[in-house]
Amino acid sequence: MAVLVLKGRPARGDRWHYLKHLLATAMLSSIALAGVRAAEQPRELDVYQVKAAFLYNFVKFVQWPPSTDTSGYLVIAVIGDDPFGDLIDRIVRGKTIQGRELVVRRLGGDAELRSCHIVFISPSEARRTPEIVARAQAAGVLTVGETPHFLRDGGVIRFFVEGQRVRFQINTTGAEQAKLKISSQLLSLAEK
Amino acid sequence: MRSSTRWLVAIALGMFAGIVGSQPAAAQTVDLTKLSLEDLLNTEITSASRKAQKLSRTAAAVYVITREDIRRSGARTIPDVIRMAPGFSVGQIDASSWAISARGFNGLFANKLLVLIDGRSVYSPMLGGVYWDMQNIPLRSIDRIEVIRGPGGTLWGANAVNGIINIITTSPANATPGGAVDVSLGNLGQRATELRYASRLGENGHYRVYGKYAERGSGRPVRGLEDPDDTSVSLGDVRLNWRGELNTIDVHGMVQNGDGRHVRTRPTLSVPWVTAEIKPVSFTDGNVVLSWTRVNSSRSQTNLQTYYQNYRRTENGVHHHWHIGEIDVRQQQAVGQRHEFVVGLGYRYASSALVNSQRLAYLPEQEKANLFTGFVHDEIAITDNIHLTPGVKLEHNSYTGVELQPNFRATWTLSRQQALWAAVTRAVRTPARVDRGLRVLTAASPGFGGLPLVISVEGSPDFDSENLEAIEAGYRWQGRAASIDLTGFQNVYEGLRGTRPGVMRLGAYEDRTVRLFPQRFTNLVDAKAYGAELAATWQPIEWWRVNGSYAWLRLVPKSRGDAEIAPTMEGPVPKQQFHLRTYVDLPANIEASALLYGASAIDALAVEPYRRLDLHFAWRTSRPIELSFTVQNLLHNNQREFTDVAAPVTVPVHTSAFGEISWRF
Repeated sequence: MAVLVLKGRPARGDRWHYLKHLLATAMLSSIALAGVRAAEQPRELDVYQVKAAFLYNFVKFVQWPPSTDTSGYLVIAVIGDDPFGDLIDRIVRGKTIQGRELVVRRLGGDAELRSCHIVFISPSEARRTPEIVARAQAAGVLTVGETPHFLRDGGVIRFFVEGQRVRFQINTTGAEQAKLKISSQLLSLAEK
Repeated sequence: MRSSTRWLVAIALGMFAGIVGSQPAAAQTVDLTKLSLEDLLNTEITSASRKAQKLSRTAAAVYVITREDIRRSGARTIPDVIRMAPGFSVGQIDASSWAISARGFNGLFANKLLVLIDGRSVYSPMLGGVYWDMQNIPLRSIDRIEVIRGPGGTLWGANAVNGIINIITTSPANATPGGAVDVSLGNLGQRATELRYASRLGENGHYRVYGKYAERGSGRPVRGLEDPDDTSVSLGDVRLNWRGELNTIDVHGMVQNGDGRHVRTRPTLSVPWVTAEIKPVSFTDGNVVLSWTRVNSSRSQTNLQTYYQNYRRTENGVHHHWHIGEIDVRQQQAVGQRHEFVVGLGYRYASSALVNSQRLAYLPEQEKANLFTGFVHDEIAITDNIHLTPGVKLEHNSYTGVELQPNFRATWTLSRQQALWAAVTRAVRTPARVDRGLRVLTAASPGFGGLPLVISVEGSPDFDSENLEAIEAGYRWQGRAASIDLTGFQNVYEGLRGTRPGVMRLGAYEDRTVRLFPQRFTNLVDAKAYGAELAATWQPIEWWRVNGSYAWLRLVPKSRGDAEIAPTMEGPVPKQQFHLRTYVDLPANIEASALLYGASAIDALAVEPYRRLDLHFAWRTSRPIELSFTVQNLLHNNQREFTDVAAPVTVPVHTSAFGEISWRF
């Protein structure tokens, strides 16, 4: 901290100077006191918090083919540079859906997908997306992405942002090819 | 205890009390799993695009000022927003003039910093530098500001020598639909009204419209001159966006009109030989940017951008009229599994017509200039963790001919959390009109033989580009609740601008014959600079965040031969700077922030060290009314932050308070 304290200058004695200090102290203490009780509801969420919550929700509205692992964990995987940080981990920690525990995995571009249920393909893997999607389809895995071309590359759900809200599109052909059953409720909320 | 120390302790205590008094972190987190799909679709997000994943791989000292940072700073002007960028030096000269630079060479016209707004360069080919009083786009229209310290000539072109400020406005497709009126009022006569509206246009189109009128000033006389820096601006801004499946078309147009006052000095031919006076400044500016992006496939994207700007400006008795047009094509193309090419071609046209004054002139009065550019740059994934980016830019300008700006960058991603990067770059600052054609009478003295002696600072027709060769390296770490970004650099400059005495001659000034003593610009100054910058963030709990930065710089100029090193060469920036800001979400939807800035002395300009504290409170609800209150310059009343040779009389910075009310409809 010593480095940060640069040469001081003599305090001035006028009234405004004291008022200023008083005002500043009052404001700073209110910041401190506020810590005692924090905001109950966030007014806005980070875009990836919302996307992470969507990923969790998708699990409830998708039925996987019998070829996908139907007994153990429900696996959400992120391929490539992870834009979520620990946001998905925080959401799914300790959660179960239909008695099955949720886990998060982070994978390289050429990882085995057979044990996964949802893979989020990071924009960092944009150039390899078609190839990853092809393997996910064969493995009966739900692919989620956010690059402009994601659905054309065969991906199933694509996030995009409109009017400061997260929206998603669904590629039903892609879902059929991966033998995934998507509930009509999820389909009805997707943007056309 | 000294007052500075007391402040730091008070802030530290405040933060500490904040943690101690808080409940366990887990209790604060909202359970997102409780939100239904419909809730999620209706949740507003804080940042439309977080390019973090790509940014973590960038081999340059990048920093992003987000929309939230802008809102929570309470800042009213773009220069005040840029204060948040680590390693940037922002010195206010008066209510509408600032000196802004990174890594040295600051000034009213800091000529080594390139500034872009939605891809349109606002770097002035007249004086080299940015007319900050003309950068008035509403802060609420800004999505983010990407700030790069260090050279970026390979991608951005000439004059991106010490840094780049890239201001990106919110696409209408991402803007909150509906309208709003914001009215603000402050104790120093700051007054502003802003109107905004965003909506859909047909099935795939969106638009937003802004209107703004703002007045500000320091409200205190300087050297007996009343209202030394009052300024007013009116502005209209429209952006349209049409997004098809593969094509996006975007049009952004703006018109503005400004009137203001500055204090400037002028030599006189009798005692006291110099006088300070109020000089009016006025401008009318219109510009339009058209851009078209086509996503050909996930491996290929084409972008075409063109803009036109037409502005008139009267300042210091000189009238300028400029037309500037530019067209750029850029192609991004992945080749094989390992290469990602970006190739670009561009052309820029600038024509200027001036009406000079006797004291200040730029020759010739009329000029047309052409600039042709081309660049190639390839990001090569050597392995999944090592990326190399060689690139080169070739330019041809009307003054110095061909300029070559290569760079070589490398990033090594050590783990999901850590990365190392390094870069070797060459960048140039090409001459502006001022370097070649300036004639300004700056000082007078009794002289000899009955003729007063007047110093005339003059450009020279053979003034060449200034060159930089830079080596940079950095380290980034991104943890769960904290991050650190450390950068070190060494810059070697060649052929910087200095002045050299010329041959005396007779001339005329104020209806008298005088002896003119010319001081001519030459490229005979070299310099070496090195420094380090640290930026860190920490978010211990959901509702409390801290950002900090520290920068250290050393700059040593060296003259070749008899060229004189102007004081502007020796910095002039503080050797040390720091910034600390904290955001706290209070109950009842109140947001609080405190922003502390500190800088050491600038000896060359006799500017004392200073600390500045800004506080901002906002009450944000889902109701249509929002209130905010800001206090700026709390520790910093009646202080100077900067002085420039072209503006030796500074209007000191004063503590001020203002409130804003905004109503959405």
